[in-house]
Parts: sequence; C-alpha cells; structure tokens
Amino acid sequence: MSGREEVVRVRDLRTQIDGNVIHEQVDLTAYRGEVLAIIGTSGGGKTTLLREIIGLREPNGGTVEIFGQDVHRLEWREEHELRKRWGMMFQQGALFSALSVFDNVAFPLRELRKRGEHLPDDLVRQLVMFKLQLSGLSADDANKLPATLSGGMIKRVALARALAVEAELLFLDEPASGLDPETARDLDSVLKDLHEELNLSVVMVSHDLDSVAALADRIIILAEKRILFEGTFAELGRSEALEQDVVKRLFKGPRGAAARARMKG
Amino acid sequence: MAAAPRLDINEDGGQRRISVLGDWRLIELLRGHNDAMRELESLRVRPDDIWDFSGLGSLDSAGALLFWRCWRGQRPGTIEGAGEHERWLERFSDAHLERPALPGRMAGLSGFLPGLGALLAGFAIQGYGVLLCGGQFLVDLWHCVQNPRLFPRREFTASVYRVGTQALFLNAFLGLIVGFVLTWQVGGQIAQFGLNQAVIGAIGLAFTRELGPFIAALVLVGRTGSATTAGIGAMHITEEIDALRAFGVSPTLRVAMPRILAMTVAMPLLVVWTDFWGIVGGIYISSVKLGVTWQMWLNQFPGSVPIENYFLGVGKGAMFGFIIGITSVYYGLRAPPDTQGLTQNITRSVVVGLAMVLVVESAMGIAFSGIGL
Ligand SMILES: Nc1ncnc2c1ncn2[C@@H]1O[C@H](COP(=O)(O)OP(=O)(O)O)[C@@H](O)[C@H]1O
Ligand SMILES: [Mg+2]
Repeated sequence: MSGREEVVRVRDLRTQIDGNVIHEQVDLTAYRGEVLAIIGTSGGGKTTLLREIIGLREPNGGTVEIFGQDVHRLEWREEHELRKRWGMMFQQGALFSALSVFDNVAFPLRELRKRGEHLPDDLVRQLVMFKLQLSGLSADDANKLPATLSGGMIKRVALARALAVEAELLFLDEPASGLDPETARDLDSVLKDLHEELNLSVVMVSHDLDSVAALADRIIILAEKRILFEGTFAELGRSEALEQDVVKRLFKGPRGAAARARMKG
Repeated sequence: MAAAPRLDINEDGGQRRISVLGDWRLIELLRGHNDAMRELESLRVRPDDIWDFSGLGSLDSAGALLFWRCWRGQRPGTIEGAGEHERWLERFSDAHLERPALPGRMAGLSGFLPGLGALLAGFAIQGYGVLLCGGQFLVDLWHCVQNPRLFPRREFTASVYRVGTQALFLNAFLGLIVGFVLTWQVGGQIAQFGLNQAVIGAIGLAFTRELGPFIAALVLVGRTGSATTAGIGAMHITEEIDALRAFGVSPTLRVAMPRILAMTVAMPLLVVWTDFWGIVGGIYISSVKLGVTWQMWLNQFPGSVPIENYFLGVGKGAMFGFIIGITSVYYGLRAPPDTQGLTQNITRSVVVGLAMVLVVESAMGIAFSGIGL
C-alpha cells in the first residue's frame, strides 16, 4: 500500500458547526485507482466531510490535500485548475434549475472548452447524450427541465454531470439513495466499468451496503465524530472495531448481508 | 504517466494498419494533445483497414466516441488488441447520440404576430390573475372573520414587522431628504413674491396628499414587494407550497393573505410616518432659509391644509399597500420553480407594482381634485 500515490489526504480534521463538534481528529487517505467508501450513521457528518474535502467549507482545524495540494491554502488560479480534476455528485442533485438536463450535463464540458481548446460542438453533444444514457436516462429526457424530473432521474442527471469530464477523481454523495434497486445495480456496474477502464479514483459516501460491498476496495467508518475504522472488508472482519455497538448496528440485518460476506472471504 | 494520444498509420501493399497509441482521454485532448484527434477526424476509413489497439494506454468515452465517429457509427472489419477497451466501443452501438429537437421557434413576421398575441394574452392573463388574487384575499379574510382561529397570527405579525418596522428608517430618511430638497426649491420661488408663509400650505399639501403615500409606495414596491415575490417563489422551489397543500393548509390563506393584509394595514401608518419626516424637513429648511419658524407652522398648518387631505393620503396608502400586496403575492405564487423564472417574476412584480401605483395615483388625482384643495 505504501508505494501507491495518495489522491486525497486528510489529517487531523476538526469541524465545529454552531458550537457542536461534528468531526474530531479525522484522518483519511484515498489512493489512486481505488474506490473508497465512507459509511456512517445519518447526520454523522459525511456530507460535511465531503464538502470540506473538496473545499466548499473551511474546516475548523487540520489539513486537506488533493493530489498533494492543500485545498484550503491555494491561490485562486491554482484552485481553479485543481477543481477541474475532479467530479462531484451532490446528495440532492444540485442541478441548475434554469438549465435543461442536456445543458446541465454539458455545463462542465463547456466550461473546459472555455480554455480555448478544440472540442467540437457535435462532439460535446454526442458525449452528453452518451453520458445521459450511461446513467440510465433516455434520449427523450434531454430537453426536460430539472423541475419536471422525478427524484431518481435527478440523481441520474447529477451522476451524468459528475461523469461528464471523466475526471480522474470522483466524489459521490450517496449515489444510490433514492434509486430503485435495479437502477442502483446499473449504477454500480457503470461505476465499476469506469473505475476499471479509467483507473478512476472514487470517494463515495453511501448508505447502501450492497453497493458498497460491490464496489469498494476499502471502507471508512465515520461515527461518533471519529474514524472508527479504515481498511478493507477483510481487515474489518478481523478488526476489533467490529466489537463496537455503532459498527455492529451498521452491519446488522439483511441489508448488511453482502458486506458481512465480504468480511469473511 | 499519461502519454499523448497518437495514431501510427502504416501502408502495407494497399492495406492500412492503424496503430492507436497513448492515452485517448478527454483530459489529454484538452491539454492540447489534440493533433491526433484532428488526424482521426480527417481520416477516411476503408473497409480493409486494420485497427490495432494493442498500444493503447487508456480510453475514456470521449476517446472511444472519436473512433466511433471516425467509423461513422459502424465497427470496422478488423479490430486487434482492443481487449477490455472493447466494452467502450460496444457501448456506443446501441446509444442514441442525437439530441432530440427542441420545440422550434417561429421566425419573421409569421412569428411576430403570434408573439405579439401571446404577449397581449399574457398581460390579460396576468391582470386577471392579480384581480383573482385580490378576490381570493377577500374570501380568505372572510373565512378568518367567520372562524378567527384560522387567522395566521404569527405570519401576520411577522409580515407587519418586515413591511413596517423594518422600513421605518428608510421611509424617514427619504421623507426628510425630499422635504429638504422640495422646500429649498419651492421656497426659493415663493420668496421672490414675498409669500414666505405660503410654504406651509405648499409643503403640507404636497406631503399629506401626494408625496407621503408615493414615497411609502416606492419603498414598499422596491423593498418589500420584491422580497415577498422572491420569498414565495423560493417556497415553490423548495416545495414548501406543496407541503402546505399536502397538509391541508391553504397556501393563499396561510402565505398570501397575511402578507397582503400586513401591507394594507402597515402602509397607512408608514404614510403618516413619512408625512411627519417630510414636514420636519420642510420646517427645518423654511426656518433656516425663509424665516418661517415652527411656531408659525403649528399655527397655520390646520388652516392651510384641510384635514381631508390627510385622510386622502392615508386612504391612498392603504390602497397602494393592497395593490402592491396582491401584485407581489400573485407573481410569487405564479413563479415557476426555477431560478430564471423566479428572477423574471420578481422583475415583473416590481414593474407591474410601480405601474399600478402610478395609474392609481393619477386616477385618484383626477377623481379627488375637488376635495381638500
Ligand atoms: N449548515 C449547517 N448548519 C448547521 N448544522 C449543520 C449544517 N450542515 C450540517 N449540519 C449538521 O452537521 C451534522 C452532519 O450533517 P451531514 O454532514 O449532512 O450528515 P450526513 O451527510 O452524514 O447525513 C448534522 O448534525 C447537521 O445537523
Ligand atoms: Mg449526507
């Protein structure tokens, strides 16, 4: 492990919102080419952690490095360049409400093109249409406005937009929540393909243990403000973290079956 | 690390062998390594070409799409060494890559006339909607009179606070400034004829009858009306209006009625407040510049400004409050749930609100020209 390139590196992160401590001494590392899943209780600060990693919120202490650069200590221009190297899918979609589905997905591509590079219009158009279908939408949805979409469709558009530039690093906040099981499986296979084909690094937050068990190379358990565990499923199976009540509760029940199976074998 | 994408074409006895080398990824293409992309775009495929992918580093869908385009949507005869990359090339075969057509817009005169018609119809619909909104307000108010427990007290008091209390400073400031300036200018004219004390009637009438209500209405449209439209419109985006309906609460009664009522009730008070500060401004300037002291003002004011003007101004204020209330609430409730539609409706709310104030102002000026002058 030690020889691998670190894409995300968080050290001693501390977060406090309105006097409540959300994170304390959070350390985590994501390596190039792996899928890292962050799991934890609802309201445990997963979204906040992701927002701090990508620089949308300043942590109250500690450092966040992506590709070896401290996200919160960058010049405006450097930060701008760095931001183009990752994609983000927000939990609620965060689509631009005034833009059609097509324009939402085309947005990051068109932004890239503003640098004056050669990227023909029809290539952008075909790429967008392809990404829409890759995320499980049909061609007819392209001209719809976000306000007319169902919750699951919003999720897929958000995924298509996060995938639009095929950045080397992808942050996903609960990609599977709100999807029907079949679409969720489709999404898993799309992510798996992308990840294998492009050696993509993925940091995802997920409640869906099946999907985590199917995709994740390593997992992080964030509960009680701290990282209770970081490692592979097999390591978790042997770890004493599993003795803790919070962790036990996470993997209890039928929905944790696939995850428990991976811990054993 | 990443290698620039490259094409290596070897002609061998009439047959071409096209070797694909490097990383064919969007990031690479955008880094300025797009010579190969142009080369591929201008390449004419021949059926007997051999495509050799064994030297390919990595391929993303943008890269794969470039090949797919070059092949005009069909797999060429021979592909070698594609291995796992095959998946990407496959994926395009059943994808629909053309964007469905947008609903067309008519151009030229044939588009102008229907466009004009739609515009006029739009005005009519909006005017009708604003009227309906006023009617709904009366219905809701009547409901509350019959069943006082329905009355949304918290919303109403909060609205009065926002409409009235929070606007006090702005209204006083504007009143004072206009009072200063107007007295300065009118006073200069009047002083030429030695009629210094006529300033009391002029300024007093101007404020109680016209300027007080007008200044308060301007502040109400620009400050509170636009905020009301934006606030109600945002409730559409966050689906709060739907949530109210789902719980069996009437959005017009809970959201619209208290706001309209608050504006109607607060405006007369704001008018009195604005009148006061405007006249204070007038007293100050006239005592400094014209030698008309505040004692003279107190003595002569009742005689020069009949009490009808005061009631007329206060009544106008209530009228303006009601009009601006129904306009801003209407455009908020009608706002489409996206940022652009909301912005457009806020603009409309302000423009229509102002226009209505001007129209009513002139109409009342004519209608009441026989009273109080
Ligand atoms: N902007 C905010 N203001 C106040 N509290 C917040 C804010 N954002 C998040 N929180 C609090 O931080 C905690 C973690 O939230 P979040 O990161 O969204 O949890 P998760 O994504 O794990 O469900 C919650 O208790 C939430 O109430
Ligand atoms: Mg969350």
